[in-house]
Parts: sequence; structure tokens; C-alpha cells
Amino acid sequence: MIINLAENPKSITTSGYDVCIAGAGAAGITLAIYLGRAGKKVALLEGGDEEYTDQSMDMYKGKSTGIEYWGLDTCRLRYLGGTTNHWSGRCKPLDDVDFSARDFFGLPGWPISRGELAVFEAEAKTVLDIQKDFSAPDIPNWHSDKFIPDRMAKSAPTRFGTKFYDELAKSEHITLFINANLTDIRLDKDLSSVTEFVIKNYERKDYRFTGKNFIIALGAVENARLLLNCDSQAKNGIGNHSDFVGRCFMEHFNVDLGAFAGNKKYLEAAGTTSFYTSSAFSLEHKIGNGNVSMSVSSDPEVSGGRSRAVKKFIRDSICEWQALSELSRKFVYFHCPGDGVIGTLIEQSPNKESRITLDKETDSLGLRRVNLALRMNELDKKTIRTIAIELAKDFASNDFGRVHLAPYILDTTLEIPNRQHCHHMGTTRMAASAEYGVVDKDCKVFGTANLYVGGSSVFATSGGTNPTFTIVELALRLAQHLA
Amino acid sequence: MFSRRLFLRGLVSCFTSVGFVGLTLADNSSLPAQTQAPEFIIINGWVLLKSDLERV
Repeated sequence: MIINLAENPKSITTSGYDVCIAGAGAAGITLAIYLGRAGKKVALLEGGDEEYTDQSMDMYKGKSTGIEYWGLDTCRLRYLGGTTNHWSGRCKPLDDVDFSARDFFGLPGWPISRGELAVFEAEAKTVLDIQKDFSAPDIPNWHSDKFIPDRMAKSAPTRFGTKFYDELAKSEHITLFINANLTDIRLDKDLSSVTEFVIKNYERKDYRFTGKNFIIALGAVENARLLLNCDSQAKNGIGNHSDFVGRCFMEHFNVDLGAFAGNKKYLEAAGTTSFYTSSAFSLEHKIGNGNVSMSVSSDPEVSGGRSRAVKKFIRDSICEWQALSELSRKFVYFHCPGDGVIGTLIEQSPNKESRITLDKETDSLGLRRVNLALRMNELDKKTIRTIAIELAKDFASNDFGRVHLAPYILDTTLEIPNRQHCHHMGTTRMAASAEYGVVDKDCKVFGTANLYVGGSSVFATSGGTNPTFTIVELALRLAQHLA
Repeated sequence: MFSRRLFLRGLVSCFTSVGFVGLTLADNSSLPAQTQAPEFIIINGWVLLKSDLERV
């Protein structure tokens, strides 16, 4: 059944649920579907509508005061299906090394093993419509113990709101509420159990949902924002005993490492290739992991801004007319058509200073908006530079080409410009104890008996891997735990 | 697309006009030690095999 709270329904059931889930994205829908199939009575509460609305998206707006970042209301989508409505479908499980103790990160890693998620790998592939195995392609003539062919697989990409719409609408166990915004979590007297989810429609009409267990699956920014906003009973917010809510916000860095002149024989044989750091390599150097893809540019890039026209003129002068000098490239960094381009998705280490806090400004429902301060620390810089240099060396030694590294790779006095992949992770991190995180190994918020977190906010570390597959594995694991 | 000989000749002609600029780092604390491995040389940002230069 689907109920639209924007229509101010007079009589709805707000009590007696086994599980109340806030957020109908990849995590929330997976949880609802599998708990419903297990016979649990589920209230799935989605803040957006069935389709995109500006009204809903406005809730995501916030400030960014760290590394230049995407608009917070552009990365994610706030309606049925969540961000799966525009994701690309790149999938891969995390590796064993991601769950190993990597002391050089400065914080404990996952308190679970890869094996505890791997048992859900096959089911996650079914959820995500992945047809092929996660097997690495053969790249002829490539020999390296540092960079191995990446074993990426592609989802359809599955749009969760579309794929599961009929089941959500027809299930006798699941009720989907849309335009249903979670605005507060009420606790009992000793602050150990959740008693209610306070839900509002956009006219601020309250609906109070009760149940046995409660899950927030709102995305890594919103999960932290909601917990921090819930400070009327728990000082500093729910689950924030150790000041970890909102901290360790992680992204995947997208850094232009440079360009390469490729060996034609290699390009024809392999086309665009994708490599991943080997466990031995990242552990030896005490760095994070990363995916690097090598391709040939067909669309020269010129950064924006007021100087765009000047940059375009210089680019055309060099690329098309072979005019001006190489010196110009020192001032305008870009790729000419035919250049070999290196794309990256690089792991950010968990860093307490990379964080979300609350701003003074509030949204239309009275919740304070977020202030995101994304930070890159010295370990992240070492990861980026080590991957760049060692990859360049492997490219030369395999005679696949010669790499021209960007100036900031070799000159450590320069800042490393980067964009990111809109992968939000780590703001309610999983840990063995409340000292280092927000949720335990079952995704339950420390200090509570019945509040759980779904989604990538529980990631203790992020790997150099797109997060959706792990999000679904974790959701299946939590569903099994609560079923 | 890739002609090593042409590429390296161009590189060398570039050096003769602007001077040979090797790997100069203000601070290499965040770089891996292997950067200095003997079989590689970094010139003006290009990561080359030392044998590349011998073949020019």
C-alpha cells in the first residue's frame, strides 16, 4: 500500500509496526522488501514524492566550507528510489584488505570481516541485476604486482523505486508513506530506546509512528544531520556520546594524475583499462586503495570561470594549431584530443576533521541544515601521489606508454586539486565500541536498544570502490538480523 | 599514436631549449622511496625508463 501524506489522509495506521524505516533509497527499499518478505510489518517512510520535486530537494541544501564540493542538493536525489534514480551502476564488493587492521589510518577499521558480508554477495547481485561475475579482465602483456585489473561489474543500473514499486504497493506487510519526513526521534525516559519517529508532511502536520525497531536510511549526510538535530533529549544528538556523529565524512577523490602517451599496440588490445591497487602494494606503502582507469580523451576539458574563453583560446592554439609553447600548459592544464587520460577513484582515509556539523539556518520543517567540511589529510595526499608515481613507473616498465604527471604530484608544496564522486560515507561509522564510532557491528546505534542505521554512513573505511554494492550487502545483513 | 623515438627526440629538443630539468622537489616526505629507483627517471613530469634516454 502507498499512502501520500501530502493529501492529509484522515485515518492511517501509525502503530504496531515491527520496523519503521526512514528513507526509501537503495538501503531503505532493500530493508523494507526483505523484511516484508520475512513477514515483518514495515512502515517505509520517504520524505520525497514518487517523482522529483523541488520542495523535497530543498531539504538537502547546505553549506560547504572545506574542499570545494558539489552542491549538496545535486549529489543525491530525494524521492522514491533515492539516488539510484541517477546512479551509473558501477559495482564491486569491498576487498579483504578493506576489513583488515590498517593502523596507519589512525582509527580502527571495520569490526567485521569481509566474510560476514560476502555471504550476501549473491543476493546483492540479484537485487542489483548484476549478470556477470566480479572477475578481473585479462589485460594482455600487463605484468604488475602493484596494479591489477579491476573486477568491476555493472548494474543495469537498477532504479530501486521502479524495480520494487509493484511489490511495495501490493505487499500485505509493507506500507510506503511518501511526503513523510522524519523530523525527530523520541526516546524513552532513560534514553535507551526509541519510542517514536516524528514524521511531518510539508504542511508540518505531525504523524507519530511507533514500532519495535527503527532504522534511519537517509544517506550519509542526512543520517548525521538527523541524529545531530535530535538534541532535545540527548545532549549533542542521538548516538553522539563520543562526538563521532558527522565525523569521518569520506568521499572518493577524483584526481587528474596527469596524461599519458600510449603505446598504440596496447591501446588497440586493451582499450580503456581499469586497474586497482593490490593489497600487498597498499599495505606495503601504508596508503589507501584506488581505482585508476586509462582512456584516450576525445573531448578536451577546459575549466570554467571567467577566464574560460581565454583558456579555450590557448587550448585551441596548442591542440589544434600547434601554436604557442609548451610553457602555456603550465598555466592552463587540460587534455588535448588524443591525449591519454587517467581517471581515478581514490580512497579517503577516515579523518575526524572531515565532517558534517549543523548550520544555524533551518529548512522549511525546522531542521538545521548541514555544513560540510571535506578535508584531505597527509595520508590522502600520500595515497594519491604514490598511486600516480608507481602507476607511471609500471606503465613505462610494461611499455604501455609514458605518463606525464601533473605538477602537484611531484611538487608537494602544491595543493592537489580534486573533484569527488558524490559518494557520501562514514558519518555514523561502525566500530567495535562506542569510543570509535556510532553503530555496532549489527548497525545498531550504541546506547540504544532498537535504533539502527542503514546505508554508507556506517562505513568504517571506504575502499577505492563504488559504495552501492556494499550498501545493499549491509542492508541484506541488517534485514536478516531483524527478521 | 605512440612513436617512442619521435617522442623522445621531441623531449630532448625541449630540454636543449629550456635546459635539463630533473626531479626537483621542495619536500619529498609524502613521496614513496621508490621514486628514486635507479631504472626510472622523472624529467619535466615525464616518468621514463633510463634506457629510454640511451635509445634516443
